[in-house]
Amino acid sequence: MSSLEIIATVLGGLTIGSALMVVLSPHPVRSVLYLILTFFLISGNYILMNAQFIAVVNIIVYAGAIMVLFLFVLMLLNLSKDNEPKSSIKMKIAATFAGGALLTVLIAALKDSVILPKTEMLENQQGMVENLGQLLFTKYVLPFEMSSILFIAAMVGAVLLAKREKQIIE
Amino acid sequence: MVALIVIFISGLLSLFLAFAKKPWLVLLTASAGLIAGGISLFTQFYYQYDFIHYEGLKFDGFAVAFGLIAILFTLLVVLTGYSSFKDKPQHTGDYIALLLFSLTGALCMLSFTDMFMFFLGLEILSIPIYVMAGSNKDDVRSSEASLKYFMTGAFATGVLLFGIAWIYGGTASFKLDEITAFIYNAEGTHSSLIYIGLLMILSAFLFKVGAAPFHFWSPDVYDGSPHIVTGFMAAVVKLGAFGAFMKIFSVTFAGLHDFWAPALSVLAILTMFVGNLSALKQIRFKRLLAYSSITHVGYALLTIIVQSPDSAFNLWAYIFSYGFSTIGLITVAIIIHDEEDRIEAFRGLVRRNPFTGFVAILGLLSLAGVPPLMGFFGKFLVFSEAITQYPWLVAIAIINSGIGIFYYLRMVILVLQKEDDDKPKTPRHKVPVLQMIVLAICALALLFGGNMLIF
Amino acid sequence: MSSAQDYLPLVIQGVVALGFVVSVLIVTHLLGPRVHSKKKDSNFECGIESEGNARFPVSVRYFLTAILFVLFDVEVIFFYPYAVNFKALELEGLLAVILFVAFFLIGFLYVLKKGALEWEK
Repeated sequence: MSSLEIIATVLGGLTIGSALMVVLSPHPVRSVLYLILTFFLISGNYILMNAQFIAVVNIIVYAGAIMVLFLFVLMLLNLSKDNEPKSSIKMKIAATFAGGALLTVLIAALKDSVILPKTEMLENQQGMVENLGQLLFTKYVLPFEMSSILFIAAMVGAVLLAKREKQIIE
Repeated sequence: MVALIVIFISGLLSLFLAFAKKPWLVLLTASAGLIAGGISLFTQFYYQYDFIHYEGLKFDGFAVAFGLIAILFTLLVVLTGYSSFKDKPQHTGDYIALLLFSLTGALCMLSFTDMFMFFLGLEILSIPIYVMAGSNKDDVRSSEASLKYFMTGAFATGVLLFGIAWIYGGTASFKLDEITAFIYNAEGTHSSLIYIGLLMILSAFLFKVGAAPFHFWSPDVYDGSPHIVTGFMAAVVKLGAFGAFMKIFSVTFAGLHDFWAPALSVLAILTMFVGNLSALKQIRFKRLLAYSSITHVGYALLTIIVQSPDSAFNLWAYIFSYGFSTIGLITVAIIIHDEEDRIEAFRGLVRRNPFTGFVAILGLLSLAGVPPLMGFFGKFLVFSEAITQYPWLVAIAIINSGIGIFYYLRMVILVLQKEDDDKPKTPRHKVPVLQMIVLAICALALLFGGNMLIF
Repeated sequence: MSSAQDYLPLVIQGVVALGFVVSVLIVTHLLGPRVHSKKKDSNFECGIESEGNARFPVSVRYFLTAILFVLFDVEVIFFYPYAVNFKALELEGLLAVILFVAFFLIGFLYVLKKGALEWEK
């Protein structure tokens, strides 16, 4: 194993571990903190895959901004220990069974999969941000512009849902 | 492409015109935008001219045919919803704009040729509807519907993205034609990644169209959302999702038909039975509509299972007839305006408002598939195409239509019945002009549209 | 930026920074005196007796501001790949970015006109 493979294995293991902790930890704030850790580790994985831009975006947008939203949601919900709903044993068994079945299928599929030869883009080790920018503003400029429809819809939606009505205040 | 831009710009305009506090101005802009969008979609197809070229979008006959009825349904929904939109003048623009944005997403989902545009279209289609489902902020059920739809929808989107990633891993392409070519060329020796990706995309689609066993969100969301949004979801969102479903499964994954068709057939049967048997005991109108829509999804899935050159047309005809019936019925429910949304409120409608009651009966009978109406022809096309390849599937579908007739007829009888003498008489409902127009269009389409489908 | 090895300085710096913080925390615990009493162990709140729970529901207005921030944050992200290719993309790239920003500006105008950023009483 090369050093790169060792790093990738350790990083992957840590990512899975901390993602598991998000689900398993009983305290919601702790879950969020583990989620932040997971995002950082995923960013590490992105860097290993030579996708620096995505790694940075992941940290700025997800670990930075989206996590703040998560914490806001937690504070909005006013979660305290006594009124947390407990999932039943039956539910847990069913979920474990379903998740385990999916995992088995995924692993089995990965085991006999044919790995395709690397494409040129992946071989090219130089400046991924530059390549991405070139593609984004030339070939994929239309989807890029269309994403602004999504953003405007999100803005309208956020204002519509979260802004208080005048009548309530009066 | 021009149509997309026109509709998007008219959405933006209606956002800002709403600040003038003149709801009719917003309505006028939106309707003009929709009509202009429809015309530009058609002319662009007719003259084969497009001033913006992007390989990810292709407005072929399929996209134009489905796109035109998506625009028509949105226009009807906006017209019928205007009376409730203008009650909150500060939000009229927001509501209409969100519907228009959602429509651009639907058009994207009908015309994509690569997975980027597909995903973008799906998101643009869904996000405004998540918001619209919760737009009735005074009602807890509306907020619940919004949250439920958003949570489950976001999860389905995640599964879909994961599936696309697996497909990319198996074929090294996001473009539909390249994936198709890859699947055909590598006959029999596919990477197992493709199968997993296909199953994930399939489950996400089944979720989006509301087929069993991924249907649990739809009764609650249909029930909780405002009437207009329910109508829009049943007509336009379903249309977009089915269009993309057909594009991906009947065309791109056609080479793997033997793999997914049996699974989809079983699920289609399950969907029909779940929808029908649950619809039997509903007392709230929108819940009934939700379960009946699940059943209709089951029938429409037949067009995807059956491989035939006419499948696309059959699906189009089916959604066309289904959309008109649903929009007509939703309009009737808005006119009745029952707080509890009980089916019981339909009692004696024909005596109070003869025309409204008449359209309600037409809509119900069309959903049931009674001959001279459009719904019958939709069903007839679907079943007659399927019968050569899957006779047993058609047999089950016909049994289900029989069960369906039971609850549709029960409602028809309710509409025809006299009101109880001991209860105070419900006064005649006022019908705004715009809703009258919508009802008239639906009635005409349901009565005479079917013959046009055949010839 | 050619391979993972180039990130070694970054990793070393991260380890040093983290190590410093962790070691300082541990050392202060070891060196400092330990006094326990009821007053000493209670939550510190400027000398006033603490009341109720620290976790109370926050107004949804903060959330609205935060969610709008996220949207504009994502917009800013897209400038970076553009800035890297500024010269190569020429006029067309500039127009694309201007259009994108214009859409955002329209959204921003809408948000302002709706008064979503005003801190209503």
